[in-house]
Amino acid sequence: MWFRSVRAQAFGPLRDAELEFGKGLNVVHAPNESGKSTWHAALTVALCGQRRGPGRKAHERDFEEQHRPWNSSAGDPWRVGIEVILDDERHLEIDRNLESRITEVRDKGLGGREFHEIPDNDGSPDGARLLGLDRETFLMTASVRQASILTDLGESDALQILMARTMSGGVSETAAGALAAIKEFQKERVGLDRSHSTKPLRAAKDEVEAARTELDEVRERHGEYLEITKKMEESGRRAADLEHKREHVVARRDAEDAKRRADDLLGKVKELEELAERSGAAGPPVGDSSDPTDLRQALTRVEDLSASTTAGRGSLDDLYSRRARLAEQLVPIPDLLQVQKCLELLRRPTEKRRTGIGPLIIGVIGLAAAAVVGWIVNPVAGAAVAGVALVAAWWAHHRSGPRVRIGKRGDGGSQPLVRVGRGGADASVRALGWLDAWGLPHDPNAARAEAAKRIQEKQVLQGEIQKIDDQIRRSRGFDEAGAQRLSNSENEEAWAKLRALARERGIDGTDDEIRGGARRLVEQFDEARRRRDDDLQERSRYQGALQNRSLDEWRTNAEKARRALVEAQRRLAAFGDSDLPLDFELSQLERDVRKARSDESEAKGSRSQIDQRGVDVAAAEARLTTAEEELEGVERLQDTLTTTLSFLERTAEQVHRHWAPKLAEEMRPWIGRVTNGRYTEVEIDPESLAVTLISASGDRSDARLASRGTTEQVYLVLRLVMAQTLSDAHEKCPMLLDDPTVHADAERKTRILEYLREASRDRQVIVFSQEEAVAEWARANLEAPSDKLVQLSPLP
Amino acid sequence: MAVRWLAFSDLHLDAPFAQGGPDLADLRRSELRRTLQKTVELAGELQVDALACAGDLYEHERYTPDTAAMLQRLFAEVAPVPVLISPGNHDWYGPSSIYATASWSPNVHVFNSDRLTPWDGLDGMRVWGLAHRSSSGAGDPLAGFATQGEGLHVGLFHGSESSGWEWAKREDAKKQRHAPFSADQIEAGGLDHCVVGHYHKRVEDDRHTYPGAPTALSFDERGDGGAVEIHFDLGGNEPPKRTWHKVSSLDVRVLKLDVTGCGDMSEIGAKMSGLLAPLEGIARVTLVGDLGPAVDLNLKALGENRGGLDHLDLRADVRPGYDLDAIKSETTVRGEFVRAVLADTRLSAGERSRVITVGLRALEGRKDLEVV
Repeated sequence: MWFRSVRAQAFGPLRDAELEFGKGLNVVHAPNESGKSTWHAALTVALCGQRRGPGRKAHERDFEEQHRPWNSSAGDPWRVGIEVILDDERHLEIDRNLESRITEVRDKGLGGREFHEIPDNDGSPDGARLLGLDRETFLMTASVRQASILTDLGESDALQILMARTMSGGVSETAAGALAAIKEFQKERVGLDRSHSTKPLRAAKDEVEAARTELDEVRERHGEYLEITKKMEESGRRAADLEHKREHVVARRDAEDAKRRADDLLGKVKELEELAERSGAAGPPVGDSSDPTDLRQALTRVEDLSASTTAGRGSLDDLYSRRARLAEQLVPIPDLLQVQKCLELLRRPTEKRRTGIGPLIIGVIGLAAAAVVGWIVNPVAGAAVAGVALVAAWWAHHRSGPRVRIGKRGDGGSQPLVRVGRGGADASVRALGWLDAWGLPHDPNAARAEAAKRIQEKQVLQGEIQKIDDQIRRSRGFDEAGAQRLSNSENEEAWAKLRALARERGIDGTDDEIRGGARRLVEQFDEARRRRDDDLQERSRYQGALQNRSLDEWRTNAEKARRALVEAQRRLAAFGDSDLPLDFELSQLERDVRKARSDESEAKGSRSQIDQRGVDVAAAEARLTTAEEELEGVERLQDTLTTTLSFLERTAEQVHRHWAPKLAEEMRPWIGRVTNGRYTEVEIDPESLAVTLISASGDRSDARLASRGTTEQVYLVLRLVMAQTLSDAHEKCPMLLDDPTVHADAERKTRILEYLREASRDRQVIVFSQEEAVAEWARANLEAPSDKLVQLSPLP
Repeated sequence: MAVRWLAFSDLHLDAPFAQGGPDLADLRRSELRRTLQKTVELAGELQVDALACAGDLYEHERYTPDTAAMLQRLFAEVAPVPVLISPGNHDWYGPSSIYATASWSPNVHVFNSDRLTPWDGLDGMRVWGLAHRSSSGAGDPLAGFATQGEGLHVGLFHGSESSGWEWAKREDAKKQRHAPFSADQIEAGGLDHCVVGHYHKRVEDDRHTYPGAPTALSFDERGDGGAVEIHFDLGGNEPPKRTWHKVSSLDVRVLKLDVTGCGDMSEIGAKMSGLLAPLEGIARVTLVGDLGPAVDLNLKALGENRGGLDHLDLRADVRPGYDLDAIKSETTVRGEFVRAVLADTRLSAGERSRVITVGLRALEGRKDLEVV
């Protein structure tokens, strides 16, 4: 490729200006301020274009500041164009509007048809691509500006850097520099995995470890929480189960109790109803006012007198013997009232009762009988009867137990007649003592029945004794009174009294009728009294059985008990069929319930002590995940940087090993010419890219230690060789040089120009120079039409 | 005659939401609680006959005492409406589960057998439910099952219907198949309909309904579930009518933003602001396209501007802004480097992109070597 022309419509100080070039060596001679460097820049930008992407780099901003049209008021767009001839003679016209960054490429050989074979580079066609370069490497090799020569050669490793940067692709950094930058970045942003490192990799690993430890701890606490919760639930369930069993047991016992109570009360009511019926059937009691005592006595007197005269005399000894036997059978028994009071004391144990008047009654009755006998028969008989009565009373008192004694009358009546012991024992104890003393059972009903039976037996015995006493009295009267007392007067007197008393009661007739009527009357009275006593006994039993309640109250209680039984059975039935053992120990059950509830409460307490955050597994997992993501990011960066280093080191070495000998070989033919034979060989170290110059005698010199002039010459050769080498197999690369000889002396200047003319036989070389010597050399040496000297005038 | 349910499933209270950091996790967990609150309120507003949950109400391995207290309170609030719960594989029924230990109000019925058992609290309907009794190993819930009794038979459980399994697996690669069954078994077992949990996507089939997760639990889920109002015709003549209600107030969006042409971070930031401006809730935004070579893409800095969103999960899947075709044709280190990296088949596309970007940036002398 070679530049045929360049046209600046508006570019820096240039307006509507154009330069044409030859295919070989072109020298553009321009004095200062004639736009020499501007034309150089115009050629470069017209060929390579600008990056079209957004944002601007520093060198792009510098370029814009330097080369925007200076005279903006002219209104011409910032625009340059070139015509280039490709190696195959295709004639291209590249027109670039730098303002709009629109590039048009046309093939002039095809009538200006659009040409699309120039590859884009960052959004803009880059003509350097046709050369096997790009706009970066073109600037590094083929476009040599005086400023860059000065800058580049200011470095001691100028040649190495140039080669390295060029081999790296014309970028800002060499491969070695890039590797160093990556390593430094890796050191800071990743760091080593050492225990005390504060760099990201270690920090991320530490955080992961800490988060993992925390998660383990939180999970463990959560596990404990679940375990406590489980224990709480199990304890609660066990307690509920036990409570259910307890309720079942209680219900069953309640039902049994209710049944027992209902049976008792219903039985009681039945008994009361029977008693009530019997006591009601006994009829009204017979009153004492109808007692025919006087008639009975008169009748007895008559019959006694009659017996004394007619009846045979019995043996008094026999009579006393029989009486003694009967008296022995008299058991000590209180009357029903005493028994009832005793039973009430049992029911109300704290209440003191008056009781135990049986012996007293015996005594009183006995004394009364003695008085009657003494009055009727004689004082001796009465005294005997009194003695017997007192003995009987003492005996009855004695049978009631040693702790029972008859109280003294006349003490104001506030003291009970019967006391138990001397120390005032508990009423119930006393009552039991009495029952024991009487030989009665402790059960109230049985005690009452037994007492009634004994009273009846006692009355029979007393009746028998009374009859014997009468016989004794008669026998003794017969023996002692004899015939004297059997006088008619006594008999008549007795009969007169009997008749009178009989008539008072409506009995009249013959003596036998009177005596028979009187006897019937007395017997009727005795029968009525017996029935009255029976009635009293029944009523007493009934009243005792009522226990100070009414029958209706007992019925009400019985009904309540019945209903309670129904309810208890209903509750029991609610538990359904159960295999609950009958001997289930309620107390053990209660203990088990308390233990289970206690365990449950303990578990609840333990659970309530657990901090919410302490079991927040999700939060701990989130922390760990965040830490792991952070570590993953650092490790990914580590991998990326490590992999990049690996690739970059390997490829840099490959490229250097490929290009170093090749560049040295390309430089070798030229090195002798530009150094005027001082050096004939050159070597390039593939690793360091260090350039070694070798003289004809074999001396080796490090190019970094060579003179400035030699360095400039080698530098120039190196750039041309690199441009040629890098563009190998592509279009031949034209060279653009801005004042390449400005620091060379005349001899070196000539050698450089000669070298460039030699080089231009293979590629176009355009030299911009302000030096008159160069212009003179051009006039003398350039050969038209391939070579061309262009003379610029100072800009207006 | 009809019975109306409000059914939901897969709420996953106390889910970790580990991806996205603790702040997002807290936000999401709070939102799940609000979602349940709203579901319960909705049951009251709709005056349904029952509130039903088909499992995975919470996560057993993570639940806190506060969760248990909240569930007791919320379900008591809806009384006397029955609350029917069939525990799933995440909220499996066990002695330490909330179900076994909470003091539920009388309107709450938790199925606790691992076989379908009936519940007859609704006139004309018999509900068959079961409980997962561990986090795995639940078998076919309908194997050998046959209904008994009169009325409409409705199943409520947590399981994997066979025809939906493939896409469920695609949606969540880690998902396990629990209690597998096929839709054919529903009718064969005598059930008129089944309300099922486990799939997070809603399913509206003639014989079964998946309410779907009320809110997307990850950015990979579409989040089309919710609380579904189901109108059962007790005559059994019509399939149930279903209406999904949105009960989550948190929008979960997955978006892409093409940053091709953006020259710098501020340009990308401006473009992203425009995208996010009308959005609320949480969003995952993936930057795609060709990234300009000069752009030092800093996701952390970009993510700080999240507009009205509660949370922004910002990712990048951009191509490096280099003309790699041109570069790889170079004979330079740069060209060789790019060629070597592109040729290495051991590297993933992402690794290639990152390595090339770092290498080229380093060769350009840039310091921004941390690439996404």
